[in-house]
Amino acid sequence: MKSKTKYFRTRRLKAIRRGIAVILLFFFLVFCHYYGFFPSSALREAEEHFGTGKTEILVPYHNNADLKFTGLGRACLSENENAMIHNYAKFNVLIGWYRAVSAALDCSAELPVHAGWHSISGSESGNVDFYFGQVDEGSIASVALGRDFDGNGVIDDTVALRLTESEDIRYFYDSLYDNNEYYIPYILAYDSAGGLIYQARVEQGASSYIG
Amino acid sequence: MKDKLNVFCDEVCSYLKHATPEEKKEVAQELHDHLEDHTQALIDIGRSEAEACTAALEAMGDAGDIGRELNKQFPLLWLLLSRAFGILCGILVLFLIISPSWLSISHGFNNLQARFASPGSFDLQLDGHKLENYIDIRVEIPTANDIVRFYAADTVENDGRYYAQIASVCYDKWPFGMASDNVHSHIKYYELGKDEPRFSHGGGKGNYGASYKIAQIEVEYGQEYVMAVYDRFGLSLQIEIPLNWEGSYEEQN
Repeated sequence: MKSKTKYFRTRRLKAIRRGIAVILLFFFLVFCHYYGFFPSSALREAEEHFGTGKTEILVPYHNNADLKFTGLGRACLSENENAMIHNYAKFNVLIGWYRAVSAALDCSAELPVHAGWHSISGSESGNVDFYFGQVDEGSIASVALGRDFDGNGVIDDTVALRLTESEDIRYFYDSLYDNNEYYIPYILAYDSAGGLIYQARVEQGASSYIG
Repeated sequence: MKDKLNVFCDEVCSYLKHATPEEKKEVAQELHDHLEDHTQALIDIGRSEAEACTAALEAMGDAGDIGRELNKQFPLLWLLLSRAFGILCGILVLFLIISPSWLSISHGFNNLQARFASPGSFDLQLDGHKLENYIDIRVEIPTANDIVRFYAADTVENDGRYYAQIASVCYDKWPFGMASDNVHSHIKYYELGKDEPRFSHGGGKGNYGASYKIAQIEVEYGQEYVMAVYDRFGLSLQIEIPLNWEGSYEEQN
């Protein structure tokens, strides 16, 4: 009779071969962009789309109460030395995690504050305006959003933006529920005494509809 | 004789707790063949069929001992792993077939066409004019992992003003990667009389695998080159696109 270990080797070999097939298939699906197994796939997609280079997540994927992100939709904020990306990712059974809508902010210019906006509207809600950016000037103690409703260059009201200090970056990221009011956004920066030291129109951004 | 052998084989296989039906069948067949061979050998030397069968079974040993020993060759863990991997494989293959991303194969083809095909095969026109002065300037956009290939630069005249028409295609460095239409759209040109580079009039088409664009920029007659500029996310590139005025309208007139 043949070696008794033949059966054990056959069974083990079969399991190992199938395991290798799973690993190869998995990597093929990931590298050929067939399937987004993880939310990071959606962020990589956004990085390639805008050409920002690789970014690191600053604000992890989260839901938004005002926008009521449908299904498995989630938003995150990521950054690198020259860019910030606000990325809204969704999950679909057929293609996995993918980039639904996103906005990028070019932070490479020499400015005290870089500010971007991303206006997202959904079928069951009004607009939610996301404001994000980074502060490069050390004397800036707080920032706010200035809104010009008449388009005459005069700030009609201000909304404080939460400034957060991370390891090597000071950034702000806030959302504002908006009943489709039109306004021109400005970023306002104040020193520790509350004096306004910088003001600029927020020009970089995008409007998106998520259905 | 065969009945006795079959009963013995079945008794051995009854001790194989974690063997699949196919594996049990294989074990039973091998055991049966071995016993048959031994029995036949004994018959050949003069024993009767019944005696030979009994002797062969006695020489094999106790069915229980054999069965318990063989059972060690069929551990449950490897069976479960094999089946789990098999199911996973099936699911991943299903994704491959039903996922809309099977289009990646066609996008990969578009990518390869953009990088290897001769410019004459790119059928892109602007305002009815097909570009025919071919060039081949390739610029890497490392932040997007893309290559922009400028493949044609023509000059046209309209109402006494001269324009350069620059055709380019953008594709990912990785054949299955995404061509960044956003990057391609942010290539600006220095136009006649303007100090800053601007987005130009033009057209384009494309898909996930390759993005094609034609830009039309006003230039001065005889201008040697047009400057294309990409300045975004810390990457600043300037590319000189040479212009060819041979056979141009001014010469013809």
